[in-house]
Amino acid sequence: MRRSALTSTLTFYLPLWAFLVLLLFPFYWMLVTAVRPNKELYNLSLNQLWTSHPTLQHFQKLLFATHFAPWLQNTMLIALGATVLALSCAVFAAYAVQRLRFRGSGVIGVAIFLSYLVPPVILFIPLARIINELGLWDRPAALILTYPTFLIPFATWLLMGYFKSIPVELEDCARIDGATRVQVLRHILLPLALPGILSALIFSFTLSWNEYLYALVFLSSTGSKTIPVGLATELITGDVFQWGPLMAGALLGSVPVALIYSFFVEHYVAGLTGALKE
Amino acid sequence: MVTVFSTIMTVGDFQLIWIITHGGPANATHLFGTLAYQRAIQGGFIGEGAAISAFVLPVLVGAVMVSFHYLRRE
Repeated sequence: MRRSALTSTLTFYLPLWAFLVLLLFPFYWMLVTAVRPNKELYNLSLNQLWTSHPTLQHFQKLLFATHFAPWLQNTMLIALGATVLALSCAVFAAYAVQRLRFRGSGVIGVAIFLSYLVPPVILFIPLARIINELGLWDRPAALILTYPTFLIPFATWLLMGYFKSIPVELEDCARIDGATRVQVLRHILLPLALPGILSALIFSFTLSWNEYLYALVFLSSTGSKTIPVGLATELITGDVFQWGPLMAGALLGSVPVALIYSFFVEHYVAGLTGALKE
Repeated sequence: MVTVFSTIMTVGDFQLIWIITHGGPANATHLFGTLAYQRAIQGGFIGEGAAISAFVLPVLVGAVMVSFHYLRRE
Protein backbone atom coordinates (compact mmCIF):
# COMPACT_ATOMS: atom_id res chain seq x y z
CA MET A 1 0.00 0.00 0.00
CA ARG A 2 2.65 2.47 1.03
CA ARG A 3 4.79 1.45 -1.84
CA SER A 4 2.15 2.12 -4.43
CA ALA A 5 1.56 5.54 -2.90
CA LEU A 6 5.26 6.25 -3.24
CA THR A 7 5.30 5.05 -6.83
CA SER A 8 2.33 7.16 -7.77
CA THR A 9 3.99 10.16 -6.17
CA LEU A 10 7.16 9.59 -8.14
CA THR A 11 5.63 8.74 -11.50
CA PHE A 12 2.56 10.92 -11.43
CA TYR A 13 2.56 13.84 -9.03
CA LEU A 14 6.22 14.77 -9.34
CA PRO A 15 6.19 15.13 -13.16
CA LEU A 16 2.80 16.80 -12.90
CA TRP A 17 4.11 19.43 -10.51
CA ALA A 18 7.26 19.93 -12.57
CA PHE A 19 5.09 20.51 -15.62
CA LEU A 20 2.80 22.86 -13.75
CA VAL A 21 5.70 24.96 -12.48
CA LEU A 22 7.20 25.10 -15.95
CA LEU A 23 3.91 26.24 -17.49
CA LEU A 24 2.99 28.75 -14.81
CA PHE A 25 6.42 30.30 -14.40
CA PRO A 26 6.01 32.79 -17.29
CA PHE A 27 2.75 33.98 -15.76
CA TYR A 28 4.43 34.42 -12.41
CA TRP A 29 7.21 36.41 -14.03
CA MET A 30 4.62 38.50 -15.85
CA LEU A 31 2.84 39.26 -12.60
CA VAL A 32 6.00 40.13 -10.71
CA THR A 33 7.29 42.36 -13.49
CA ALA A 34 3.96 44.14 -13.69
CA VAL A 35 4.10 45.19 -10.05
CA ARG A 36 7.81 45.99 -9.69
CA PRO A 37 8.74 49.66 -9.71
CA ASN A 38 10.89 50.89 -12.60
CA LYS A 39 13.89 51.52 -10.35
CA GLU A 40 14.07 47.80 -9.61
CA LEU A 41 13.15 46.67 -13.15
CA TYR A 42 16.13 48.26 -14.82
CA ASN A 43 18.62 47.24 -12.14
CA LEU A 44 19.73 43.77 -13.16
CA SER A 45 21.80 43.16 -10.03
CA LEU A 46 18.59 42.77 -8.03
CA ASN A 47 16.61 39.57 -7.81
CA GLN A 48 14.36 39.61 -10.89
CA LEU A 49 11.74 37.31 -9.42
CA TRP A 50 10.78 39.15 -6.30
CA THR A 51 9.92 42.66 -5.22
CA SER A 52 9.68 44.25 -1.84
CA HIS A 53 7.94 47.40 -3.08
CA PRO A 54 4.95 46.29 -5.15
CA THR A 55 3.35 49.14 -7.07
CA LEU A 56 0.39 49.71 -9.34
CA GLN A 57 2.06 52.50 -11.31
CA HIS A 58 2.39 50.35 -14.44
CA PHE A 59 -1.30 49.49 -14.43
CA GLN A 60 -2.05 53.15 -13.95
CA LYS A 61 0.14 54.08 -16.89
CA LEU A 62 -1.37 51.32 -19.03
CA LEU A 63 -4.96 52.28 -18.30
CA PHE A 64 -4.69 56.05 -18.37
CA ALA A 65 -1.70 56.89 -20.60
CA THR A 66 -2.35 54.41 -23.43
CA HIS A 67 -5.44 53.42 -25.41
CA PHE A 68 -5.84 50.14 -23.57
CA ALA A 69 -9.63 50.34 -23.20
CA PRO A 70 -10.32 50.82 -26.92
CA TRP A 71 -7.79 48.08 -27.68
CA LEU A 72 -9.61 45.69 -25.42
CA GLN A 73 -12.93 46.64 -26.96
CA ASN A 74 -11.58 46.19 -30.51
CA THR A 75 -10.01 42.86 -29.74
CA MET A 76 -13.20 41.60 -28.14
CA LEU A 77 -15.38 42.77 -31.02
CA ILE A 78 -13.05 41.34 -33.66
CA ALA A 79 -12.51 38.02 -31.92
CA LEU A 80 -16.24 37.53 -31.32
CA GLY A 81 -17.23 38.62 -34.82
CA ALA A 82 -14.64 36.48 -36.57
CA THR A 83 -15.44 33.45 -34.40
CA VAL A 84 -19.18 33.65 -35.00
CA LEU A 85 -18.69 34.16 -38.73
CA ALA A 86 -16.19 31.33 -39.02
CA LEU A 87 -18.18 28.86 -36.95
CA SER A 88 -21.45 29.46 -38.76
CA CYS A 89 -19.66 28.60 -42.00
CA ALA A 90 -17.68 25.73 -40.52
CA VAL A 91 -20.69 23.87 -39.09
CA PHE A 92 -22.32 23.64 -42.51
CA ALA A 93 -19.07 22.88 -44.30
CA ALA A 94 -18.16 20.12 -41.85
CA TYR A 95 -21.65 18.62 -42.04
CA ALA A 96 -21.63 18.63 -45.83
CA VAL A 97 -18.20 17.07 -46.16
CA GLN A 98 -18.77 14.51 -43.46
CA ARG A 99 -22.37 13.45 -44.05
CA LEU A 100 -23.61 14.28 -47.54
CA ARG A 101 -20.87 12.18 -49.18
CA PHE A 102 -21.18 13.85 -52.54
CA ARG A 103 -18.62 13.17 -55.24
CA GLY A 104 -15.29 14.74 -54.30
CA SER A 105 -16.18 15.34 -50.67
CA GLY A 106 -13.02 13.56 -49.56
CA VAL A 107 -10.90 15.78 -51.78
CA ILE A 108 -12.63 18.86 -50.44
CA GLY A 109 -11.95 17.70 -46.89
CA VAL A 110 -8.23 17.41 -47.64
CA ALA A 111 -8.27 20.73 -49.50
CA ILE A 112 -9.77 22.45 -46.47
CA PHE A 113 -7.02 21.03 -44.33
CA LEU A 114 -4.35 22.16 -46.79
CA SER A 115 -5.72 25.68 -46.83
CA TYR A 116 -5.18 25.75 -43.09
CA LEU A 117 -1.51 25.02 -43.69
CA VAL A 118 -1.04 28.13 -45.83
CA PRO A 119 0.57 30.58 -43.40
CA PRO A 120 -0.65 34.19 -43.05
CA VAL A 121 2.81 35.31 -44.19
CA ILE A 122 1.89 34.34 -47.75
CA LEU A 123 -1.58 35.80 -47.62
CA PHE A 124 -1.14 39.16 -45.98
CA ILE A 125 -0.04 41.16 -49.02
CA PRO A 126 -2.83 40.00 -51.37
CA LEU A 127 -5.32 40.41 -48.55
CA ALA A 128 -4.01 43.90 -47.83
CA ARG A 129 -4.82 44.82 -51.38
CA ILE A 130 -8.33 43.36 -51.18
CA ILE A 131 -8.98 45.18 -47.91
CA ASN A 132 -7.80 48.38 -49.51
CA GLU A 133 -10.12 47.95 -52.50
CA LEU A 134 -13.04 47.26 -50.20
CA GLY A 135 -12.32 50.45 -48.31
CA LEU A 136 -12.04 48.60 -45.00
CA TRP A 137 -8.59 49.86 -44.09
CA ASP A 138 -8.17 50.55 -40.37
CA ARG A 139 -11.62 49.19 -39.49
CA PRO A 140 -12.45 46.18 -37.30
CA ALA A 141 -14.40 44.71 -40.24
CA ALA A 142 -11.10 44.17 -42.06
CA LEU A 143 -10.02 41.67 -39.43
CA ILE A 144 -13.45 40.13 -38.93
CA LEU A 145 -13.39 39.27 -42.63
CA THR A 146 -9.77 38.09 -42.83
CA TYR A 147 -9.52 35.96 -39.69
CA PRO A 148 -11.93 33.36 -41.11
CA THR A 149 -9.24 32.59 -43.74
CA PHE A 150 -7.53 30.50 -41.09
CA LEU A 151 -10.44 30.01 -38.67
CA ILE A 152 -12.82 28.30 -41.10
CA PRO A 153 -10.40 25.54 -42.20
CA PHE A 154 -9.36 24.99 -38.61
CA ALA A 155 -12.89 24.85 -37.20
CA THR A 156 -14.17 22.78 -40.11
CA TRP A 157 -11.43 20.22 -39.63
CA LEU A 158 -12.10 20.02 -35.91
CA LEU A 159 -15.86 19.69 -36.39
CA MET A 160 -15.49 17.08 -39.13
CA GLY A 161 -13.64 14.88 -36.68
CA TYR A 162 -16.31 15.41 -34.08
CA PHE A 163 -19.25 14.82 -36.40
CA LYS A 164 -17.59 11.60 -37.49
CA SER A 165 -17.75 10.29 -33.91
CA ILE A 166 -21.52 10.78 -33.74
CA PRO A 167 -23.38 7.64 -34.91
CA VAL A 168 -25.02 8.23 -38.25
CA GLU A 169 -27.94 5.95 -37.21
CA LEU A 170 -29.34 8.70 -35.02
CA GLU A 171 -29.68 10.91 -38.05
CA ASP A 172 -31.14 8.10 -40.14
CA CYS A 173 -33.86 7.62 -37.53
CA ALA A 174 -34.82 11.26 -37.70
CA ARG A 175 -34.77 11.14 -41.49
CA ILE A 176 -37.13 8.15 -41.47
CA ASP A 177 -39.46 10.09 -39.20
CA GLY A 178 -39.62 12.74 -41.88
CA ALA A 179 -37.11 15.34 -40.74
CA THR A 180 -35.37 17.39 -43.39
CA ARG A 181 -31.59 17.69 -43.52
CA VAL A 182 -31.73 21.10 -41.86
CA GLN A 183 -33.98 19.78 -39.10
CA VAL A 184 -31.62 16.86 -38.52
CA LEU A 185 -28.74 19.27 -38.27
CA ARG A 186 -30.58 21.54 -35.87
CA HIS A 187 -32.33 19.07 -33.59
CA ILE A 188 -30.05 16.02 -33.64
CA LEU A 189 -26.53 16.86 -34.64
CA LEU A 190 -25.97 20.30 -33.11
CA PRO A 191 -27.08 19.37 -29.57
CA LEU A 192 -24.95 16.23 -29.69
CA ALA A 193 -21.96 18.05 -31.11
CA LEU A 194 -22.15 20.87 -28.59
CA PRO A 195 -18.86 19.95 -26.87
CA GLY A 196 -17.09 19.90 -30.23
CA ILE A 197 -18.63 23.20 -31.24
CA LEU A 198 -17.69 24.77 -27.93
CA SER A 199 -14.08 23.69 -28.25
CA ALA A 200 -13.97 24.97 -31.83
CA LEU A 201 -15.41 28.22 -30.50
CA ILE A 202 -12.81 28.56 -27.77
CA PHE A 203 -9.94 27.72 -30.08
CA SER A 204 -11.14 30.14 -32.73
CA PHE A 205 -11.61 32.86 -30.15
CA THR A 206 -8.11 32.35 -28.77
CA LEU A 207 -6.55 32.25 -32.23
CA SER A 208 -8.16 35.50 -33.26
CA TRP A 209 -7.43 37.06 -29.88
CA ASN A 210 -3.72 36.34 -30.30
CA GLU A 211 -3.41 37.04 -34.01
CA TYR A 212 -0.66 39.53 -34.73
CA LEU A 213 0.34 39.86 -38.39
CA TYR A 214 -3.03 40.75 -39.96
CA ALA A 215 -3.83 43.09 -37.11
CA LEU A 216 -0.48 44.81 -37.52
CA VAL A 217 -0.91 45.24 -41.27
CA PHE A 218 -4.58 46.17 -41.54
CA LEU A 219 -4.96 48.52 -38.59
CA SER A 220 -2.88 51.65 -38.42
CA SER A 221 -4.30 54.31 -36.11
CA THR A 222 -3.49 53.99 -32.42
CA GLY A 223 -7.08 53.84 -31.22
CA SER A 224 -8.20 51.05 -33.53
CA LYS A 225 -5.49 48.49 -32.71
CA THR A 226 -5.91 45.15 -30.97
CA ILE A 227 -4.23 44.35 -27.66
CA PRO A 228 -1.21 42.36 -28.93
CA VAL A 229 -0.39 44.90 -31.62
CA GLY A 230 -1.14 47.89 -29.43
CA LEU A 231 1.11 46.67 -26.66
CA ALA A 232 3.98 45.78 -28.96
CA THR A 233 3.89 48.99 -30.99
CA GLU A 234 3.05 51.61 -28.39
CA LEU A 235 5.03 50.31 -25.44
CA ILE A 236 8.24 49.39 -27.22
CA THR A 237 9.63 52.80 -28.03
CA GLY A 238 12.67 52.31 -30.23
CA ASP A 239 14.89 49.91 -28.36
CA VAL A 240 13.34 50.64 -24.97
CA PHE A 241 10.99 47.93 -23.77
CA GLN A 242 8.71 49.40 -21.12
CA TRP A 243 8.52 46.09 -19.32
CA GLY A 244 6.19 47.18 -16.54
CA PRO A 245 3.23 48.40 -18.63
CA LEU A 246 3.95 45.68 -21.22
CA MET A 247 3.60 42.94 -18.64
CA ALA A 248 0.60 44.61 -17.03
CA GLY A 249 -1.03 44.71 -20.46
CA ALA A 250 -0.16 41.09 -21.18
CA LEU A 251 -1.65 40.11 -17.86
CA LEU A 252 -4.88 42.03 -18.36
CA GLY A 253 -5.04 40.89 -21.99
CA SER A 254 -4.89 37.23 -21.06
CA VAL A 255 -7.59 37.50 -18.41
CA PRO A 256 -10.62 37.27 -20.76
CA VAL A 257 -9.22 34.21 -22.54
CA ALA A 258 -8.41 32.56 -19.23
CA LEU A 259 -11.93 33.29 -18.03
CA ILE A 260 -13.49 31.72 -21.10
CA TYR A 261 -11.26 28.68 -20.77
CA SER A 262 -12.15 28.13 -17.13
CA PHE A 263 -15.82 28.64 -17.91
CA PHE A 264 -15.95 26.00 -20.63
CA VAL A 265 -13.18 23.73 -19.44
CA GLU A 266 -15.30 20.61 -19.02
CA HIS A 267 -16.90 20.84 -22.45
CA TYR A 268 -13.59 21.72 -23.95
CA VAL A 269 -11.82 18.63 -22.68
CA ALA A 270 -14.74 16.49 -23.85
CA GLY A 271 -14.48 18.13 -27.26
CA LEU A 272 -10.79 17.33 -27.53
CA THR A 273 -11.00 13.74 -26.45
CA GLY A 274 -14.05 13.47 -28.67
CA ALA A 275 -16.21 10.41 -28.93
CA LEU A 276 -19.78 10.24 -27.87
CA LYS A 277 -20.48 7.02 -26.02
CA GLU A 278 -22.81 4.78 -27.94
CA MET B 1 2.76 14.91 -39.66
CA VAL B 2 3.77 16.93 -36.62
CA THR B 3 7.15 17.58 -38.20
CA VAL B 4 5.55 18.86 -41.38
CA PHE B 5 3.23 21.06 -39.39
CA SER B 6 5.97 22.54 -37.28
CA THR B 7 8.19 23.11 -40.33
CA ILE B 8 5.48 25.15 -41.99
CA MET B 9 4.67 27.06 -38.84
CA THR B 10 8.34 27.88 -38.25
CA VAL B 11 9.13 29.02 -41.78
CA GLY B 12 5.97 31.10 -41.82
CA ASP B 13 6.52 32.59 -38.42
CA PHE B 14 6.20 36.30 -38.00
CA GLN B 15 5.19 37.58 -34.64
CA LEU B 16 7.99 36.17 -32.51
CA ILE B 17 10.71 37.55 -34.77
CA TRP B 18 9.00 40.86 -35.24
CA ILE B 19 8.41 41.47 -31.56
CA ILE B 20 11.82 40.35 -30.38
CA THR B 21 14.20 41.74 -32.99
CA HIS B 22 12.29 43.38 -35.90
CA GLY B 23 14.62 41.40 -38.15
CA GLY B 24 17.62 43.32 -36.87
CA PRO B 25 20.40 43.87 -35.94
CA ALA B 26 21.49 44.67 -39.51
CA ASN B 27 18.85 42.33 -41.01
CA ALA B 28 20.53 39.33 -39.39
CA THR B 29 17.35 37.71 -38.04
CA HIS B 30 14.86 38.13 -40.86
CA LEU B 31 12.57 35.36 -42.03
CA PHE B 32 10.50 35.60 -45.20
CA GLY B 33 7.56 37.04 -43.33
CA THR B 34 9.38 39.81 -41.54
CA LEU B 35 11.36 40.83 -44.61
CA ALA B 36 8.22 40.85 -46.75
CA TYR B 37 6.42 42.98 -44.19
CA GLN B 38 9.29 45.42 -44.00
CA ARG B 39 9.56 45.85 -47.77
CA ALA B 40 5.87 45.79 -48.66
CA ILE B 41 4.09 47.59 -45.85
CA GLN B 42 6.76 49.75 -44.29
CA GLY B 43 8.79 50.37 -47.45
CA GLY B 44 5.86 50.57 -49.85
CA PHE B 45 7.29 48.06 -52.34
CA ILE B 46 4.24 45.82 -52.51
CA GLY B 47 5.54 43.75 -55.43
CA GLU B 48 8.88 43.07 -53.84
CA GLY B 49 7.19 42.01 -50.61
CA ALA B 50 4.82 39.68 -52.43
CA ALA B 51 7.76 38.12 -54.27
CA ILE B 52 9.56 37.51 -50.99
CA SER B 53 6.56 35.93 -49.32
CA ALA B 54 6.04 33.70 -52.38
CA PHE B 55 9.32 32.03 -51.45
CA VAL B 56 7.53 30.32 -48.58
CA LEU B 57 5.52 28.35 -51.14
CA PRO B 58 8.24 25.85 -52.19
CA VAL B 59 8.76 24.94 -48.55
CA LEU B 60 5.01 24.56 -48.10
CA VAL B 61 4.61 22.37 -51.19
CA GLY B 62 7.62 20.26 -50.21
CA ALA B 63 6.33 19.72 -46.71
CA VAL B 64 2.86 18.79 -47.95
CA MET B 65 4.31 16.33 -50.48
CA VAL B 66 6.40 14.65 -47.80
CA SER B 67 3.39 14.32 -45.55
CA PHE B 68 1.25 12.85 -48.33
CA HIS B 69 3.97 10.40 -49.22
CA TYR B 70 4.01 9.03 -45.69
CA LEU B 71 0.23 9.13 -45.30
CA ARG B 72 -0.19 7.07 -48.43
CA ARG B 73 2.36 4.50 -47.32
CA GLU B 74 0.60 3.84 -44.03
